[in-house]
Amino acid sequence: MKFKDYYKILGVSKNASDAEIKKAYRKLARKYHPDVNPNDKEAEKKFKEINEANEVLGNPENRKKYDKYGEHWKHAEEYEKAQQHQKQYQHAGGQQYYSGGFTDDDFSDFFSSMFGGGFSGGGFSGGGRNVKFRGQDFHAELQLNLSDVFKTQKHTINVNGKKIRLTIPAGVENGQEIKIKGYGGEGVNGGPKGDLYIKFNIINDTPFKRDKNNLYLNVDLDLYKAVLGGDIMINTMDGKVKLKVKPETQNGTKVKLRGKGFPVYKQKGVFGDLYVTYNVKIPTNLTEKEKALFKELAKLRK
Amino acid sequence: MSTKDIISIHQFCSLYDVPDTFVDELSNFELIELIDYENEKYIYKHRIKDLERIVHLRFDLNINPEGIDVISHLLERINQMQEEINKLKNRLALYE
Repeated sequence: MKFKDYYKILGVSKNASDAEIKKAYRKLARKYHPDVNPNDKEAEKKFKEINEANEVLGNPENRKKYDKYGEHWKHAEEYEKAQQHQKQYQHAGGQQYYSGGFTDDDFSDFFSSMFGGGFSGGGFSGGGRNVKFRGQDFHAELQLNLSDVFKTQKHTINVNGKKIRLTIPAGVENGQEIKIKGYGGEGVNGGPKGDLYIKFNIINDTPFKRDKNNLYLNVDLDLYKAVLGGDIMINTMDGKVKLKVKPETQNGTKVKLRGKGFPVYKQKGVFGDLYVTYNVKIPTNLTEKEKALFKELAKLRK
Repeated sequence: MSTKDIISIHQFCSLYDVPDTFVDELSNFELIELIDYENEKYIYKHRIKDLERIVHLRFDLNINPEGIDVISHLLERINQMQEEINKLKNRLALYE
């Protein structure tokens, strides 16, 4: 557990007045509030940190305790215990304050160890975590392989201990987010449940490159087939197909295989195209005979 | 329209502990859409999330309605730009 310098977090000096602390806190809160920093985990982390700092420095009793023990906070608990026995302490450590919607996860171990994990709610509502009617939204990320999302599939995910069966339509994009209505937190006072948002991180485990519904593939082609033409077998997402190579095919030639690309999201039976680019391979380690024959060919072209 | 889908402004304000006049103020700035139903004003429940965000901006950060209007537009632009960045990142993978 690391010592937290709350003064540093709020950017104020150790002898800052209450007004200065409040001002610094409000300024930072405007900067890092989750409602003005959508999908920014770093800002959310900062916001929690400044809330924690304000909880300590903005409360005279907490600030006094924090200043008293400083970096020797580890001994604070033992000291407090001793004091508690002597004084018949009225307030138990870790009393349940109005929580402001914060969970224990929102506080550092340092804070919980020193102040018992409670929260006075003197500051903000925590940027939407404070459930007053509508339940809170949950956000989850699901990692899938590109080969998995070629077909519609069912997944069971675990969100806050609850199993949710999902049907993921084929063709979902990397970074796409879907909303599952009513699968968020419970509402209060008869309010609706929040929603569950799932973001897909798609890892490409195939030799294809994807651009929306189209796929791209580079295929090596030996010189002789490029010159004379012939058939080659190539892999598509849907199995092997035979391709007819035209005689005198140039390096970098692109051919389109209609409908052999990726499925279009939520359009059953509709697929993008597959673009195959030929990469003509020049033979290496030629034998003397091969060299002689190439020289002969070269003479014919002079 | 089903009453299941709407919530009265009065109920919302009392649940969120904000003055009723706050919602009128937002309506004047066209930040929310109000529905008149049997002589009372309502909002759609699916807009509560937006209204919650506005409540936080107004009462947590002390931002006035003009400021909320500006922030709402900027947030919309950020969302659009994030979508655009995602599309471009996916496209960039083609060349990597």
